[in-house]
Amino acid sequence: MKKSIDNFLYYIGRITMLLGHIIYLLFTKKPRFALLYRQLVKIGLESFPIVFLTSIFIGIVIALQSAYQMQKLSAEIYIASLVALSVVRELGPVITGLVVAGRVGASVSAELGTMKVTEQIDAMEVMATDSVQYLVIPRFLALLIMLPLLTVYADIIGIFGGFLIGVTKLGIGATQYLRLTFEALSMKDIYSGFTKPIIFAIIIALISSQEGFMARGGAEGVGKATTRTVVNTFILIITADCLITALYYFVL
Amino acid sequence: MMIRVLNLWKKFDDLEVLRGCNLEIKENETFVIIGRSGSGKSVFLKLLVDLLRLDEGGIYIEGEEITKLNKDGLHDMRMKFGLVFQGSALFDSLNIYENVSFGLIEHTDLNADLIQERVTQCLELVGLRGVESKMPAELSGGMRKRVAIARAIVLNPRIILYDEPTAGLDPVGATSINNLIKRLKNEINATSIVVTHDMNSAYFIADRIGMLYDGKIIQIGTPQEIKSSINPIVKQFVSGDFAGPIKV
Repeated sequence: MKKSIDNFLYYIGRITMLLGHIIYLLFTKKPRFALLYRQLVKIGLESFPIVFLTSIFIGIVIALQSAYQMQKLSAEIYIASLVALSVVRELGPVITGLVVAGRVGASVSAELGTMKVTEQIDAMEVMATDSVQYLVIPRFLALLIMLPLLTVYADIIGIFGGFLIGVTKLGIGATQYLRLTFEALSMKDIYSGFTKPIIFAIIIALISSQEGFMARGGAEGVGKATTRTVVNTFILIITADCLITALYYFVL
Repeated sequence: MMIRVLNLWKKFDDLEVLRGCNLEIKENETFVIIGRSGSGKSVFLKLLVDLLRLDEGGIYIEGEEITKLNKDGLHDMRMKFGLVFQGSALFDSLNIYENVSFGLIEHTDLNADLIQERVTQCLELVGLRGVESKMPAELSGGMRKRVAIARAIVLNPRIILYDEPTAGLDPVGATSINNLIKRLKNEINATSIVVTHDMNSAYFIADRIGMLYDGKIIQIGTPQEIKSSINPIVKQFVSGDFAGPIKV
């Protein structure tokens, strides 16, 4: 029990130190744009297809499920606002966060973990190059830039999925559907929808980098680090989502 | 004195790897540390460049104690070193040119032509030509080792550390790496510390040899002195006898 608490505190300590190191570097060193560009493409652009697929189906499924229930009450007209609110407030940010955590977090962790166990990170340090600046900062910034963009994209595609069902199956006019969508959304939804991906990006970057840096013992160690990254980021994303929702809708 | 190590202690959990190790290494000499696998030879190298933190004792590089250095001091101290890792540790997402030029791009303002010139020069020094665009995975173990040496010498370090440079190589490959280490000593005038348990290699390249056993350096001498040592532990190790004070 004591060992588990010690390990937990050690883990939190390492994550906090990594965050401190990242903040220090962000304010004191110029980012390396070539590396950042590579990560923007790898983390961001290459995630668009999978975000498109998940978002459009989520929009369609919400519309279909709610239509099935609402038809009984002749309240299909509310489907536009229901899809918009569910997607912008919750499903867009959370599903995008989870997809990116699975796709990118696991890959960052495996990449850094492999570099760690094959002593490439030590080699970098011996060459007087800060491995956090070289390896983590570009990934951190790329996630911070691309996750909000991917979330906005997911929101638009999710709403489009609902729109397809609303207009083609339920016979709601296209203009009316869009008007109802925008009427349903408030500024608070937009703010919370933007806060979430920023926090999720920080969670994914920190956990995946830290797990990579702590990987030990060859391929098995890298595998474990990758698994821990996915499990821990999923748990933290869901927890952070809950807290941010509570903060925006019940405190502020 | 180039490197002075005083009463060095290092342990991992309950395992004491180094237990009061003392050593002095002179400028421009090739010092070989021999010892059994797991005796702490690689740990010793990592302590020298502060990749691991020592528990007790002191390490002085050209008179400066490394544990007392701040971030900038540590940066400057590391610039004095080139380390050739046991598994080469080449960056596998970069090609050979990018690997060798890494230090130049990071730490100098040289233009692309001068970087190219220096990379070619270092690769030729280690006997490689026309491999710049290849990825590390496309090279043999011996070639990767040569690239790792080229990467380690590209910034003209004052001290080169070799961690098991001949491990995993065939006898011919091992001899060519030994020749290379010996040749580089004369050509770049650096102090070399080589960690190995390959005695042929040690005898061939060393000016002096030190044997690490039970966390301490138990004997230092020239290759000839080590060969004819009367210390029973050293004697058993260099002859490879199964019977003796070293228990397997």
